[in-house]
Amino acid sequence: MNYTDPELRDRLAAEYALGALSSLDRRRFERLLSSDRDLRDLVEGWELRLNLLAESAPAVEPRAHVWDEIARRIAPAAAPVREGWLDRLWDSLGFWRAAAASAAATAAALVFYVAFLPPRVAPEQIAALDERLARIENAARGLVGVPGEIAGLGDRLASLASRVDAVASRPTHVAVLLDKDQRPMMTADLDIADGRLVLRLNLTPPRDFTANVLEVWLVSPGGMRRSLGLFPSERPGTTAALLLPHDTAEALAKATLAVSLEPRGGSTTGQPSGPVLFTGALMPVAL
Amino acid sequence: MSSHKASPRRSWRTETPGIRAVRLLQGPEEQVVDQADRPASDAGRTQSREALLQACARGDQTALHNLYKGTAPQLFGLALRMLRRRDLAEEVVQDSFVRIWRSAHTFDPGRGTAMAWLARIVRNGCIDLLRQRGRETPLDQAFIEDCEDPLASPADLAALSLDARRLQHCLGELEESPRKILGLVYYEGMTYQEAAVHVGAPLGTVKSWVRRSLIRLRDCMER
Repeated sequence: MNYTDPELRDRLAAEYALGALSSLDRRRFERLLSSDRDLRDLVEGWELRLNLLAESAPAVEPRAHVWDEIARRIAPAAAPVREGWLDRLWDSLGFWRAAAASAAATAAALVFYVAFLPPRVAPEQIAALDERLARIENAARGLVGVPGEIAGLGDRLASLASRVDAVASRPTHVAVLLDKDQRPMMTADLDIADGRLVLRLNLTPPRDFTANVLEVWLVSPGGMRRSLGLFPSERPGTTAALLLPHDTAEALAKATLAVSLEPRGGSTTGQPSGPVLFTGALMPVAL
Repeated sequence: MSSHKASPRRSWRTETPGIRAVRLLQGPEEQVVDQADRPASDAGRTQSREALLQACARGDQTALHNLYKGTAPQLFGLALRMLRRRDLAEEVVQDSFVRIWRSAHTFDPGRGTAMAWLARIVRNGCIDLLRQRGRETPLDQAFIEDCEDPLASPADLAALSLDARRLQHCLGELEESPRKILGLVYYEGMTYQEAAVHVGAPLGTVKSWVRRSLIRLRDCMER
């Protein structure tokens, strides 16, 4: 089919919005949608038009537990309690700025990130993180002069992990989001069991925030992107907790987080419309 | 199901843009409460759905609750009609409100009504579920005929938003068969194929009815 024909596009958009297409046709059309913003606009126009019919649907009162469950799922999560010297370091903007100044920042970010993992960090998890560190070290070596101590990062990682105090959160997955210069802009931890995602912005991207905001996206391995919401501030140190529905949390565990720059109010298209500033894949810590 | 026509709370646009009135159901008697006469403590409940959505985008959980109270019966009715199973309909409504909470900032009142925006999320959730899992409850002729056809009896016009009333008017201009198919697809979540089998018409006929009706609806809405 010639998907540039305006009449066909409009017709398919209307049929998709109405829901008349079979599963197969629907999936085929969704593949088109994912890369075609104008088509998404057409669909949205039809959806908003046709869904005026919902006002004429016969009302049925849902049972009370429906709201209770919604309220439970949107309740703001308590910020994780972090104590001790690591916490002060974590909260130190100076540390993050210094870390960002070097290509070893990624490794450093991971080392300190691991310090906040639950005490029951198994050796194989440390090994997995260590392997990642080694890859980052190798990658960093080609970029800039690497501080001498980076070679010892693996040992530091292990020792730090063993010194971890009890922490309130027990993430099952973590991510460090890097910008194009490999700076650790944001860290994320996800508890897949309760769907809690905690994001922390470590550095402010050098962008204009008078009319722009940061929007957080889940990017599935297949390339599908969906918004997880706007990040509340561009100030370094800002921490935001989000409760995700179980399915989303499960999808996120296998996905990548991305943060894009969007006009105030966020992307209106359902897809990132501005530049993607930093990304990072979730990795499991409780294999 | 057919006895649940009246929603306890509905807001609608008055003819003058920007001015809204809200009808509150108080016991068996209805009372129209004006914005100006409304006690301040009741502010959350009588805010327009658009304003409530915008408050949700700012993280106001009370606004979401008020939005839920005002719209959930209709949205749940829609989901139940499509899915035929209370547990699945509840699940979709739950997921939808969590999604509404998260994406309220993407609502643009310039593009459509809040109710259409909400229904879009709920209905797309229902369609995805139907297409992914297939129908677990067969499309039972008796059940469908038991339900009133909302398109055949758009009785409660006064309770509809201006845009929805306009759509009802435009639906009235369609012929009966295409309008019936449109109702089956929208309210029952049928595909072309299912609708054709249901009414015993050729698939090609059903498709061209729907396509022509959609174009006529839009032209009428834009007139």
